[in-house]
Formats: sequence, structure tokens, C-alpha cells
Amino acid sequence: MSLSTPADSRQIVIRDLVKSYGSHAVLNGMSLDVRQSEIACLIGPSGSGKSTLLRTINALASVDSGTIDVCGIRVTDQEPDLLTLRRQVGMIFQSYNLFPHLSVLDNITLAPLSVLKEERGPAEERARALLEKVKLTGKENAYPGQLSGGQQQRVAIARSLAMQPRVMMFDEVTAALDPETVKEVLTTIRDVAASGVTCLIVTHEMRFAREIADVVHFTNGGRIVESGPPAKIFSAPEDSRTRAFLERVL
Amino acid sequence: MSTHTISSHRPAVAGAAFWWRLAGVLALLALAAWIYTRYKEPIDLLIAWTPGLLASFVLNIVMGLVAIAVATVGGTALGIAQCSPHRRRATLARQVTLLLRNAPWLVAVFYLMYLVPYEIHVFGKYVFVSDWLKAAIGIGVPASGYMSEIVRGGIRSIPLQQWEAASALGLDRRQILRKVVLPQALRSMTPPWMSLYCIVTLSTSLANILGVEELMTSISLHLAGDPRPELLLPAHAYTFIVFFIYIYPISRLSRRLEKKWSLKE
Repeated sequence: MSLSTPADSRQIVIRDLVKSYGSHAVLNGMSLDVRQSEIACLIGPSGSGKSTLLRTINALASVDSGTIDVCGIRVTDQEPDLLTLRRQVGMIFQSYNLFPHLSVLDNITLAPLSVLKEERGPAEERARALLEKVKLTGKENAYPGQLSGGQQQRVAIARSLAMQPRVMMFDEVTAALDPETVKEVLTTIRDVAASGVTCLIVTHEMRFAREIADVVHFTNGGRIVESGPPAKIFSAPEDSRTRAFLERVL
Repeated sequence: MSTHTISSHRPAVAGAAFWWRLAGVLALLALAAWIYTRYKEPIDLLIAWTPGLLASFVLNIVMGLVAIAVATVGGTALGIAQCSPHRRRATLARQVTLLLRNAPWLVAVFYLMYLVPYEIHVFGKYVFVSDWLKAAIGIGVPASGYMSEIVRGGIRSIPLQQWEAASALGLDRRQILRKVVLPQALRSMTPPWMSLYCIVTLSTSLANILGVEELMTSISLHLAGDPRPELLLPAHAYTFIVFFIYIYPISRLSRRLEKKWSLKE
């Protein structure tokens, strides 16, 4: 009920998430709010639950307890409305995961054609416009195997944007890339963020996080230890664990 | 200079392979000629029978095609069910697959022969089910157990990330299988599927026991009409050769595809 009041612009509300593999708790009381059009960056050591958190938000992974609400959908319900959820939440993976048997254009139009039941003409038109947006015009008929990592990742972003999601999640999307192609992907993410889509970004690119984020969340041991604007987190972290982490990576 | 020697050597080497092959073919022809002079009479007889025998071999080919169609449709459904997230459905499909894979084909053919009536009532009409059709289905049903395993292996060979990427885009299980997973698995499934076709076609000679007039039956009938014991071995060698000539190229192609596609990946 509080979600519907105009004063509350929270698009993602996560409370007390717990998820364990055997005796190891990956998420250990994780709570997080993300507002509409906010750019939230999650930073923290490997294994602190960042990627698992993203995967629970679009129901690729289940949780043991806790609640997740995304755009008014309770993801942690027994049988959530997966179709509506996934139409509203796009996800970009570290390993791109393009469909290797489909051309770039077909990769982008697959979901609009089969999930949104769009006509082929308008769907392809939109796909071309998205390719222009990620600066890959001319690669419509190429296959993923013929593209560089950075180009593949930009196609993956275009593919996700074709569903016109309200939230975009980026899971360490530059971690598998060559240093020289990291930049072109970050530029693309910057464009996406500027368009008003809510962004949840898991990243190890601290300079990028500092520059782009509205809010930075530092995760450790399966929960969020410290949150705040990037200037504060990076310049004057309060928690000793945040400080120790930043000293190691910066 | 050195490049010249190498380039002039290459065709010579390729030529050597060609001469060896030619020598092999000639040796085979010589052997065939020798056998012919030795067993002239039975071979002449078999050659005289050939038009009728080949006509009955057409029935073997048709039965093989029907059987592989049954196996492909049934096996694909079973294989997909084996990968189902519903545990009960997956277990049931796995047990049916196991049962089919361990059923002797001849027994399956017998069962279909005696269980299926010779005519079936469909849409107010009586459709005659001929014996060869029953036998072909009888071979196709147990073969679908093998097809089920081929499909399961194909689906499992596609990385989990492909499923995740597709579900994150909103595709449901059916759409993922149809548009993402099965098209990619087609490559790894084609060579074993072709091998299954070869086996199924070879097995159509089982129908001879049930009186279907395919190649084996046809040979037996000819032999019965001309009871000469010295014909027995050449006549069966003949069926062997006919099957071999049909199956061998398919089996070679299957091998080549397997090699080619495994190198690419």
C-alpha cells in the first residue's frame, strides 16, 4: 500500500533476504531500496552476495526467506507473475550470453517477437534504432561469434532494451572484457542510465561507479554494510570493512 | 627452388592415394570376377531375381522411414520430458525411456502385430492397417527410447547460461526450447540420429518373421520355390550387400558430419 503513494518512488524494495547453499549463507539479511530512475551501484568483495542478489530480483534464483518487491510485483511469492516481472526487469550478464545461432538482429528481435508478439517489421525497425544507439549499425547480419567481447556485450544491452524494461541490472558486465573495450561498454551503460531507466549495477570499476552512481551500496558477508552517495562512500567511508576494501582496490 | 620441389611433390602424393584407391577397386573387381566364375549358376539366378528383390527392398526403405518418423516424434517428446523441471514427469519419462531401450525390438514388433487390429475406426471410416505399417511402428516405438536419449543429450549440451539469458528476456520454457536450445542442439543430435536411422532400417528385416514381403521374405520365397541348398549362402550374402550399399554412404556421412561439427566447436 505504501508503494502506491506518490511520495514513495521506490521501485525495488528488498527486506531481510536469506539464501544459503548448504551451510554457507550467500545472502544473510540483505535489505535494499532502489528508487525510480536511480543509478545504484553495488560494490564489495567477491562472494559477498552481489550477483546472487541480482539473480533473485528477476527470479533466476530463489531465496530461503525475506521479501522482494519489484514494480509492485512480489517476486518472493509462491508463483510470481514471471512474465510481467521479466518484461520490466532487464539483465545483462558477465558472459554476454548472446544466442550464437541467431544473427545480431534476430538476437534483438527474438523476445519482442515471441514474448510481446510484435510484428516483424516494427520490431526490426526498433532493433535497428537500438543498434544505432549502442553504435553497432552495420552489424545487423553478423553472428555473435564474429564480434568482439565489447561488441557482443553492447548487443546484449540492445537485446535487453528491446523489451523496454523499467529496471536494468548489470552483473559485472565488463569483467570478461579486454581493457580497451571496457570503455565502449561503460559509455553505453552511461547512455542507458541517462535515459531514465532505473539501473542496478554490480561492478568492480570503482571510478565508473563513483562517476555514474546516485547511490553506492557496499556489500559484505551477504548484507549491505554501508550505503550513501559516491562522494561519501569513496572519500569518507564510515565502516571499517568498507575502508579496508577500498584501500585494497583503489 | 625449394618451394618448387614441394609444390611439384604435392600432386604426386595425392596421385599415390588415387592409385592405391584404384588398385583397391581393381582388386575387388577381380575378386568379384573370380567369385562369379566359381559360382556362376547361383549368381546368374540371383541377377535374374534382382528386379523383384529390389522392389521388395523398397518396402524396407519405406518401413525404415516410417519407423524413424515414429522414433523421432516419440523420442523428441520423451527426451524433452526427461529434462522437465517437474520431477515426476522427468522420472516417468526416464523410466519409459529405460523400458523402451531395454525392450527387444522383435518382441515389440510381435506385440504391435497382435495388439493392433487390422483395421482402425477413425472419423467414421475404417482404415486398413497393413502388416508392414504395424511392423514399422513396432520398430519405431522401441527406437524412440534411443531418440529420447539423443534429445536429452542434445538439450544438456547447451550451457545453462543460454536458458538464463532467454528466461531473463521473458521467454517461457517452451519458447526457450523451440527458439534457443533445440536449434543449437540440432548439430550434436544429427549424427547420432542418422546412425539410429541406419539401425532402424537394418532392423526392418525383422518384419520377415511376420510375413511382410520385404527383401528377406522375398528371398526366402524365391528359395522355397527353387529348393537348392547351394543357393542359401549366396542369397543371404546378396541381402547383406543390398543393405550395405544403401546404409554405408549414410553411415559415412554421419561420421563426417560428426567430425566436421566437433572440430568447429
